[in-house]
Amino acid sequence: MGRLNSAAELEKLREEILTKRDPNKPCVTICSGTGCHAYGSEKVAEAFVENIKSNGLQDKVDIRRTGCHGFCEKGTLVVIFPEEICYLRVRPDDIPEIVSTTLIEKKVVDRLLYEDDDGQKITHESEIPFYKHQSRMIFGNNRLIDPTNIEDYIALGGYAALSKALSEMTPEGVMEEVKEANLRGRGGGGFPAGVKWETTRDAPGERKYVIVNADEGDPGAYMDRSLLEGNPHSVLEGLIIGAYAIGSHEGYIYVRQEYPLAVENLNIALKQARELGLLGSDILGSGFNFDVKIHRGAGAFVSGESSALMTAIEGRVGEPRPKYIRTAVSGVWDRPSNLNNVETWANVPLIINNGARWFADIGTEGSKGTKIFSLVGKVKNTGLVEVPMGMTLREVIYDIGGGIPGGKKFKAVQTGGPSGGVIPEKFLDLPVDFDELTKVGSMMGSGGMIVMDEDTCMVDVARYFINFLAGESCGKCVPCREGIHQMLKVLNRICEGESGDEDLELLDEIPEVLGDAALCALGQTACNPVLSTLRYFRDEYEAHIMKRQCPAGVCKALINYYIEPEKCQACMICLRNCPVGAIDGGKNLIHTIDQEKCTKCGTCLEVCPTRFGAVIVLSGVEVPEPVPQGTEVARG
Amino acid sequence: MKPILIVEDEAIMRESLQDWLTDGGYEVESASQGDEALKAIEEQDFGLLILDLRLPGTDGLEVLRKARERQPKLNGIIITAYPSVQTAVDAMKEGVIDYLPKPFDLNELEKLISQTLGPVQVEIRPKTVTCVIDDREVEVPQGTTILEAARNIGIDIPTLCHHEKLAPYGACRLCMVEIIRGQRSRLVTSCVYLVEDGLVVKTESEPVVKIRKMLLELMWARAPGVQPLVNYGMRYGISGLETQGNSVLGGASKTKFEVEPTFCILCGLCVRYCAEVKGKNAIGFIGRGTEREVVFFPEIASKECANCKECFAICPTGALPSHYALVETDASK
Repeated sequence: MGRLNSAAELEKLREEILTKRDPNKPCVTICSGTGCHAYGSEKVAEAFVENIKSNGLQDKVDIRRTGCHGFCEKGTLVVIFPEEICYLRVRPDDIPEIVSTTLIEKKVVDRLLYEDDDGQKITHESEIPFYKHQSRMIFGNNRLIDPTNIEDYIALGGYAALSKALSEMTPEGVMEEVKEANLRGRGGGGFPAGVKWETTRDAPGERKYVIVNADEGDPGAYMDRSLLEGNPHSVLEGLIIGAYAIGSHEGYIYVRQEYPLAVENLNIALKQARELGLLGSDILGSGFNFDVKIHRGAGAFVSGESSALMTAIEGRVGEPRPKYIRTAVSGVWDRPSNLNNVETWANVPLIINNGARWFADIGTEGSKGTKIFSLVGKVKNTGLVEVPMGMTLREVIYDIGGGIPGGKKFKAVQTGGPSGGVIPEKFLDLPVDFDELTKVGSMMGSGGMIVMDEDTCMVDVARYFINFLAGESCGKCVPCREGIHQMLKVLNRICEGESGDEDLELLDEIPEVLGDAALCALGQTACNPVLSTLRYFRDEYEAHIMKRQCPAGVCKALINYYIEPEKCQACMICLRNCPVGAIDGGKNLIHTIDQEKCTKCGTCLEVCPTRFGAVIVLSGVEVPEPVPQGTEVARG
Repeated sequence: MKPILIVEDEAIMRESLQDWLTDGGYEVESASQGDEALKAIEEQDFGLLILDLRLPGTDGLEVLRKARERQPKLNGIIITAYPSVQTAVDAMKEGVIDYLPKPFDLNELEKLISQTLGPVQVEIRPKTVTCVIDDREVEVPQGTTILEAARNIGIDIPTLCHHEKLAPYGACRLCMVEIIRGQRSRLVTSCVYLVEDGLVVKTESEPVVKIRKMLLELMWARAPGVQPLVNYGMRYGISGLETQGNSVLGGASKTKFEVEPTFCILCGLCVRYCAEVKGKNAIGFIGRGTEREVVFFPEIASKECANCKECFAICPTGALPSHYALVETDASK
């Protein structure tokens, strides 16, 4: 492939790629995203290569290692085209059967198909409920693309938007399109991207920067990672278009250190794009020059904050700046710098290709397009889901996520990462968009969605997030460094049953000062996990503090395990499994727990057969006197 | 005096020249291309053109020629990175007053300009802005922070990380004040926030005092008994601080937070003084969150610190010498 010097040459290349590809030729795609990689997708891929070769099919079947498909719960995922047969939980041992049955005999391997709650098997990926209810505009191409091969991206229409912008549109025209589409930042605040672009373009100074924020750090969130790993060109194309609109010739992609595969695939993508003249000088013969560098972070959550990120790019410690001037005006080396998150940039080519009106038709009044969420926690189908803005929480959690496993009850969903908040059951029908989430005290954030069931203690949840933030505060300003530390101590006291009334006061006072006085957004929003759990679950805090009770039975210091004598069948299972020998009893003798010895590990509860259900958790009540040792089970 | 027009396609050259001449008191316009320059000349009379010889499209001499059609007595100075006898001759034929090969001496250029346009009537009138701080009107030069403006009129806003020799740091947050613009009020850091016209500032309003009290108590838990904390504690009537006086550890547990002393409030004065004033970086921060601490870097400190120790004097807690003692002990081993 040589350098492309015009829009026409790009189209010609696209035709060439498409002509040499036979749409009816079988293609095995193996999800090689982070989740499936951990399940051993590489071994699955190797097994396919080997088996296809040993059956002499190497010229008749294509194998493609793709980015993340999203249904991480069921990895390794394998989809066989053109039929789109979707196999779940594929292990290397399954490959000979898939090759002989599906690729040779053209039959489906039933046991690897998705099975719904009624035992119905589903063959095609798009019919599986997890996928069926999504609109995968941004994320959908991940499953079709080998991220290390630019031809795959071009075959699917890649770089057409860039070519259109450079050859048919003025920078102002591109800017207007993005503004009209009302694309809002996907990284946290939801600030209109077009407005930010305009600020950067209009800011004084010839040298301007455009930056991709890939410092994704919210616990449980990995959508940006999957997009960069699986479809790096979509982000790059958006960035180049943005640079053209803003009048920038230099860009940075700030990737966190923990994402080595994203860096690897990005480097390959940049190299391939440069070779084709899609990046570098005189892009597609338009006279527009733009190039980009990858900056690897050093593992600090706060570096996702815009001013800290820019300080880090300058080669200094990534700490936020105290200035009252936006980075869009004065950012990297005090030059205008436009920072958008990975997913925001990936939306740009779609808007240019399809038009602002098309984009603005998707979503709600104030939030347009789709959003990728990382759906995790107590939900059957965990994974990455992309839905139009405005879908209700209930649809996301139940229709796509399949509801709560183990017959448990839904309690709350946490959105927006550590700066977000929890949303209780009464808001399950809330449409998910930037403004609605903010109204109920949470936020969109970058799209983390952690589902919690009835066994979750909300004080413990708040403690988890505050503990995370205590470790991630850079320590520069007093309220964040010391305030979060004290907040954590309060929560620890509450969970350990050592709190007093003054702690309830501090829970109100510290967040107020932190919100007003902290230097950057990390500190200002650090108390949101506490504020939102207090808002909806104040009774749980009060139970902990006043009654020394953990209603969910989670906080170890406030609970006791107890064997109900009338239910115990003296089966010896808990007795044998207790790691500290705290259970007394014997064959036919009712078991009892020695509370002095018990370390509250919960093993007895786990192993007690559900049909007996003899082990229970007590909190806030006296543990009844155990039955005298040697009491026999009364069998009816 | 008529303005100067700079016609130069190289942005850095154009901007720096424009800034330099503007600072010198001239009124300066600029254009990056010949056509743009000609359009500007259509709209306005200039006293002098400074032209790059090589421009995209219409070149410098051509611009001068066309400009003269409109304004026959207009003077021009040519600057070029590609001097040759031929272009110099061409330029002189066009009647330019001088021909300067790049790089040129800016003072020489200014001399030429003042010969052509006459000396600048220097009128030093830095722009000022007026705001109201605690009901008192104050006029200060543009670019002044609220903290500085307040100090000008004797209002002492508390701060622990500000130092006039150092860049604003915004870390202790004690200097937060309330600003009011129209109906909206906001809390800002006064060591960083620049005064704007019409700004109303309250330095001791209720929310401000509430923040300061808690910040002082938070810092007290780290550095109990430290003099500035005692002083501010008394100013804001925090119970538990004023009675403890100078006793470093003495029963300081009466405040809201349990005392876990490190004897350092991490204001960063020492770190920044060493970097910004001394240029040595012998002392710095390591760790983050509550793990953050100030350390002397032995490789540098063992060479640089013995004869300096200027940071000792600015440390508000007085804990610095003991940090340094560790380096000396290490060095003597």
